Amino acid sequence: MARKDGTVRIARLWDTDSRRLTRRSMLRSMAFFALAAQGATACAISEAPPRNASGATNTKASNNVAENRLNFFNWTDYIAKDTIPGFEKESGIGVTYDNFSSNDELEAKIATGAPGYDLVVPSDNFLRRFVRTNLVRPLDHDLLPNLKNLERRFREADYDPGNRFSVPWAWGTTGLAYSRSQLGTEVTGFDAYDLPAARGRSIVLDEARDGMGLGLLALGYDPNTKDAQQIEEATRYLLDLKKKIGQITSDVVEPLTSGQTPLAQVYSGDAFQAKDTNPDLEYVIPEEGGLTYVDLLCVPATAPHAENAHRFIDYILRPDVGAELANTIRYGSANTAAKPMIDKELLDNPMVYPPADVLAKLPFTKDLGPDVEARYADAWTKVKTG
Amino acid sequence: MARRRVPRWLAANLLLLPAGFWLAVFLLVPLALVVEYSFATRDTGPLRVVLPWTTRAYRTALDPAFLPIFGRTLTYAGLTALACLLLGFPLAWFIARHAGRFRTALLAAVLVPFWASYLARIYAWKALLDGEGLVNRLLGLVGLDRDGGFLLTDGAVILGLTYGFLPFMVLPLYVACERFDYRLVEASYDLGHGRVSTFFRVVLPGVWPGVLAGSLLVLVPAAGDFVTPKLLGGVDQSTFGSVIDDQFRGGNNWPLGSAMAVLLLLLVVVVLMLRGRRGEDVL
Amino acid sequence: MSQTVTTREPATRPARRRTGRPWALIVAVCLVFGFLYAPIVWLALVSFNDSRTVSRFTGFSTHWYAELVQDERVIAALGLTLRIALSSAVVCTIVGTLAAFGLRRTFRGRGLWTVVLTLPLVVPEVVMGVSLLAFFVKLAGIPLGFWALLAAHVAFSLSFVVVVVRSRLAGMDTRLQEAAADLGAGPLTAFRTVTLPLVAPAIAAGSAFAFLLSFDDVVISSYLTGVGSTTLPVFVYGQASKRGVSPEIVALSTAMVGVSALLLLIGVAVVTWRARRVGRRVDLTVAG
Repeated sequence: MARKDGTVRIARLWDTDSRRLTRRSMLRSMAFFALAAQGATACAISEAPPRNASGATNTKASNNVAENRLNFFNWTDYIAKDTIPGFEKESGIGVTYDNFSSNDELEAKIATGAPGYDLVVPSDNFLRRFVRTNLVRPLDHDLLPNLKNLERRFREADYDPGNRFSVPWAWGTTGLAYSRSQLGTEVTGFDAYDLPAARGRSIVLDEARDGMGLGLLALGYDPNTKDAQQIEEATRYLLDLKKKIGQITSDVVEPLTSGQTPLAQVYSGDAFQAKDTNPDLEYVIPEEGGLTYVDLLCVPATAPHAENAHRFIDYILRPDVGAELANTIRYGSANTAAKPMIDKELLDNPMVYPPADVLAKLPFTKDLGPDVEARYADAWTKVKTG
Repeated sequence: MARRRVPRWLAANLLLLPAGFWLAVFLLVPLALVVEYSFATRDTGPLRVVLPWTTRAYRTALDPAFLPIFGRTLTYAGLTALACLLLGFPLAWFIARHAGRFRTALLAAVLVPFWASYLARIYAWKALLDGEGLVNRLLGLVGLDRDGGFLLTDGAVILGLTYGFLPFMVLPLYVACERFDYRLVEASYDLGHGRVSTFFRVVLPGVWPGVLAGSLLVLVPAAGDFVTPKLLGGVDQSTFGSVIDDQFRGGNNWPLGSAMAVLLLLLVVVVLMLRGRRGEDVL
Repeated sequence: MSQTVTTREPATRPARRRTGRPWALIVAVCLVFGFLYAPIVWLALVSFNDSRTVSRFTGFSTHWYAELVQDERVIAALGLTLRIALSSAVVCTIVGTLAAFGLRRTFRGRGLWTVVLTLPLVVPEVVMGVSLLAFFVKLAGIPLGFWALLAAHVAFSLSFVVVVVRSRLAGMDTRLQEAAADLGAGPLTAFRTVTLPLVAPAIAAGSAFAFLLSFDDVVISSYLTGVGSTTLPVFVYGQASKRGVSPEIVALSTAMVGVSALLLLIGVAVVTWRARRVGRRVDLTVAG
């Protein structure tokens, strides 16, 4: 196989939807290993080993290992107490429940295929990468009769239209949390970073798209923009903002809880965790807008117990189970059928379930393709290091 | 004599064999993967190398824009090593010379705090250094408090790093002090040298291997630690380690992260090769 | 035993005569210990906090301890972490000490060995983590979990043992061994009776380092934990990423520091008691 050929394919990779092309263009095994194994001519391209996710058309899910087991990899403290015991009791499937702390860790783990997880919960921005690189398998909708319970917004979302690969676990928004007593005023928008009480102590999230999103929104641009000029302007805005804030970090819960920071860009779920302990805190969607994020259940391509994973997904889609989950973790639930059983207090909280006009200002982060995503990443590196 | 039967180089290599094997398998081979990543095209991810080969990552890594970060990293690490030395030497000296039968106990007491989870210790420092924290209040009693406390400053970062790496200085220093023959100090005094002169001419050379070892064990890992600066430092706390980490996480730029790591390793190899014979017995 | 006593005594006694008690030194040592234990005291305090924050004390409660003892996952993670840390310390101590002895005298290739043995100190953690992950799974076929973690921990801790032991060996008087050999001791006997006791403190320090490094490691371990094998630091980080550090972990930290401090105090008591007995016996022999 000619090297040049591969190069061309890679260049075309992102203009096409073909999963076959994608897979072929990736050198999945280490090149020096390939060198040793196949000789120098084969070094450029090697076919990915045909895994059990045998192409996009065949979605039939079955267990590769006939065991009553399910290996579930989720964020910490992100489940109701009875969710797993309830499933185990009903299905007779034993669940191993492990936790990860970042999407990167999850990606690295499932990319190797070896850890043997059947069910993982990446955030929406990572799901797109997982799909691009064939790390997740298409869902077998025949095994998910409860899929109909999902809210329409999440069936048509642009991170995964038609739920081909994922089912929402919970969703939330990116906004601002602040301490009313410390700032001495209500916060409505990003100009709160200028308040004297916030100076030198406030926080911006250390996440490229969220951080850049703040800059873009503050300037009145679309947080999903592809315009290099706008991204450049947002970078300059953020470099300027950096002089006024205290930290760029994703470690926000404890600083907010303790009052060490009076103002922080946060994920709504984190804000509520902090508010639990510190009632002085408020969460607000800035008038400039924000972003919606979703954590999604999906099945790694190498899952040994894919069928069991589907059974769990269908179980979580049941109204009673979904409602219990939503009531415990108090993130937004995408399960319409579960709504009647969700605590009224939560449903009425505009911060968990924003009204339609606010929702309109809270788009999902879109996949902008590798070139633009790289531009965002570089801009963010510049903001952090500049 | 029977001992001479095995040639020295062979004996040495035999003794080094287990370590060599271990590092070859679990360090050098994995590092070869990193070298490979460093020449790949962007969008390389875990176990996925995207072609064509390119040296673009190296050109980016050598961008002068990263120089201030390199400088900051060295400053943090250097000051941390210095602080550890200043705090660790009296402690090590005291334990070695004056603690008598309580030596082991006191050394263990240096290590006991490290049973506490790293993150818990850092959060404790955050609480203590905060504007409302104990440190600021105590300093307030003597009028030295600072508005907003000491959290999110470079000082806080160096304090946190010093705290984390102190044992790595104290133990090697202790090991050196314990072996040090105190009669040399007596002799120096008898020859009319003062305390300062004796310290620099007799004590320091005597414990020098310990100072070198401790400094190495603090300096290098402190330069690589980015979690402490992240949690205790302010806006401008990016270190070389955190930039590399960022390139891997968020999947931003694996080739760049790899290239930076490779350059870092090359730099250290060159320094080690050039260091000459001085201190060769230790490092 | 008696030998060490006789060599040490004349060295210390005149020193005391000249300078008296080293008060300045004692003050400095107290300050350093104060620095080391200040955050620990704070942790002990907030472990009895009634709210979730670990930064402000709001009221007294013991419910974090109650939650801790019921939390099987924390206990399991702690068990795994301790097993790995102990195993890593043992392997590192043996392999590292051998290597340090190997590097003792000059030979061709020593420079290269030194470079290789220093590298683990320099490799950024995330680089080591992802490259080992790739290596274990794709090239070596070693499943993630205990053995992978152990291999990695040994790889990055080894240098610490080597450096400390070498610093002790540097300039050590080789005539002692030669004297032992002249007195008819075989190389092994000479090693056991002369060399080993001399380097023992360094070996102990090295194993303490290996234990500590393994016990605290997050970044590398987070890439290498497998299904159902989470180490404590990885667990704590995962928890912190969603909700900040849990007071339960603070309670665990406090309990572990407390228990080890207690063991230490018992040790001190035993040593003191023994010393008194020995002292009495010496008095008796002198009197007799």
